[in-house]
Amino acid sequence: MTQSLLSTEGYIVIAYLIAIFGIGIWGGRKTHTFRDYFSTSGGLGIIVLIGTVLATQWGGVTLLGIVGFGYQHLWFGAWYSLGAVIRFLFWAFLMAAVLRKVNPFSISEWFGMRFDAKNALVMTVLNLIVSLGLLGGQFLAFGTVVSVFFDVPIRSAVIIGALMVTIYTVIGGMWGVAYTDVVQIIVTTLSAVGMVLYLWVTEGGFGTLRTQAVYPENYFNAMNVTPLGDLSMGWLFLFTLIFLWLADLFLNHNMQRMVSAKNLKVAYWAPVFGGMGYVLIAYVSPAIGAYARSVLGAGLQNPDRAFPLLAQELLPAYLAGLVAAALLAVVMSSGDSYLLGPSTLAANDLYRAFNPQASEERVLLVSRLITLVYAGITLYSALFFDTIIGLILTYLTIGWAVIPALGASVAWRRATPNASFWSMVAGGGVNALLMLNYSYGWVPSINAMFPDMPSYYVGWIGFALASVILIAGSYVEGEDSVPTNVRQPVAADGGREVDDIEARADAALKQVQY
Amino acid sequence: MSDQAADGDQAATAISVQRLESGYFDHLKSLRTQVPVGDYLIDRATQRWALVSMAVISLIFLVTFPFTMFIQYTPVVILLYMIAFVAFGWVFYDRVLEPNEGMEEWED
Repeated sequence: MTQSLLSTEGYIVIAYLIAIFGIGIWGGRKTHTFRDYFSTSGGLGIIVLIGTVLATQWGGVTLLGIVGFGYQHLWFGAWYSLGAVIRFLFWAFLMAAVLRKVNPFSISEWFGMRFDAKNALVMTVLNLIVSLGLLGGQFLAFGTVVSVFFDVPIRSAVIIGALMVTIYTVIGGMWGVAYTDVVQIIVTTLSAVGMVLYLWVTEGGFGTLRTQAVYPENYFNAMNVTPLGDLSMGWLFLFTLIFLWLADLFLNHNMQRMVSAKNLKVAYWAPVFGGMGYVLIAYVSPAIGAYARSVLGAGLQNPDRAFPLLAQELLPAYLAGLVAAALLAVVMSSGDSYLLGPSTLAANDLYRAFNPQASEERVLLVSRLITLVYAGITLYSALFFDTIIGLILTYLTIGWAVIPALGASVAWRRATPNASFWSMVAGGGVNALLMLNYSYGWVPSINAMFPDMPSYYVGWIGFALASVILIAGSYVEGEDSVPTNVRQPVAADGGREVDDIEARADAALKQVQY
Repeated sequence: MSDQAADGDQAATAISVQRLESGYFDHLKSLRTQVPVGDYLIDRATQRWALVSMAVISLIFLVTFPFTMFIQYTPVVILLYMIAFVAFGWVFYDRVLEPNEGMEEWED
């Protein structure tokens, strides 16, 4: 049952939102230049960086979407979360050291110096498109939480959430975002873990839950995830989700965190602890979903509402208020990052491209204006989606085709600019068309091949195409097409491997004129 | 080019290269000229161990989670998973990243 905002829960939530707003504005006092606004100029220590890395990822998906998945099928939620663990390892093992050392301004700048300008431009455009879905998902999640707890219409709640996140992000920049993220992740963790322990004590452990009739057949079966339709294999879902999670690594908010690290150690350990957080989530969120099914029954129309409804059903008002605040915290802490990342990218890569003489102050001002406009566009698109995960997965499937180029940018010296460019364009384009076809049925025969398959599984097709184009294209073009700064490491650091020296010797021989 | 890069210091990074005012694409071109990206790419040994580690951890999750999770004492078991995960992160840093990527020696 919904409450008035003028209730115990309402007062707690309002006080919390005011506090977060204040912290965000306070964090903004350190923002003097565009680089401060964008990445704190490399000033984040281990605690703050872990906080902001975790808080960004623990968005509406984690405590609303995955709980909703867990409500439908326990392993639907668990495998989903474990996919994120591997995503953080990819970041820590392969990307953190390279990108912190090079210290590019943005993901586009990285692609621009590793490949060429057209790759940078594709990266900017893809960031603007994909972040739209992620940010919209957070706005929608904010509305979902508020409308479950309070008698506020969901559309109004979405607009209130969007306004709050936008204002403190515009003023606070990356410093404001980072500080609020730390507070939000503490509140969130305590609430989610506390909720599970509370349920464990009051409702019994899983030994008790498994005996109840409310769970459908195969609910506890890890290898048969019934809601997945034709492709119910748990292992396939896990590997699909690993790639879907990897699909958001090219987004600029990740780069902002990599270059915001004080040093290489911090840059490495923040994503490792991020992965550890998702090991915890792999238990916490599905467990809450399972308890929600036990307490609330099987008739929830929108599973995303399982956690807030459960809190409202079981907890006293002041604790339910804290849970409401925590749920809003995860949503806001992701929303601010998804907003800041693409809007600063647009200011740097698009505005600066056409106004190279613009001063730092001017770019900072334009960046703030772009943040406002981007939030407005996203808010408009968010009002047309019903479920949080549906919105996010649609956009991430496009990003799936960027994974080969992203991995190659840090780890494969032979990757050429043209091969990288066409792998992203062709793979992303195919995935976008397949996803749109799924929604609009332009070519029904394609959809008829897997009538009951989750739509995002089509991402494998664009990913495979992108991988083939990248590898085959790079070999066909040959090593001479690799930019010189990548092909010929400077001898100052002594090189790394015998293979590199041989490659350099080969390249040098090719340049000899007989 | 900044003084730091001109000195031949290994830390010729994107941030140490002065931004060109002639346009963003010229700026990117300038970065390609001045920043030796090839020096910073991940070492092949690191790449190999990273991919093997991610594949093995995925398989460990796939095999062990169904047998150990969502049973009576899972809140305790999940703590063990978290500790093991961070411990593995430490081993990877110490045995792979530190020797192959010069994590300790490298200075911004």
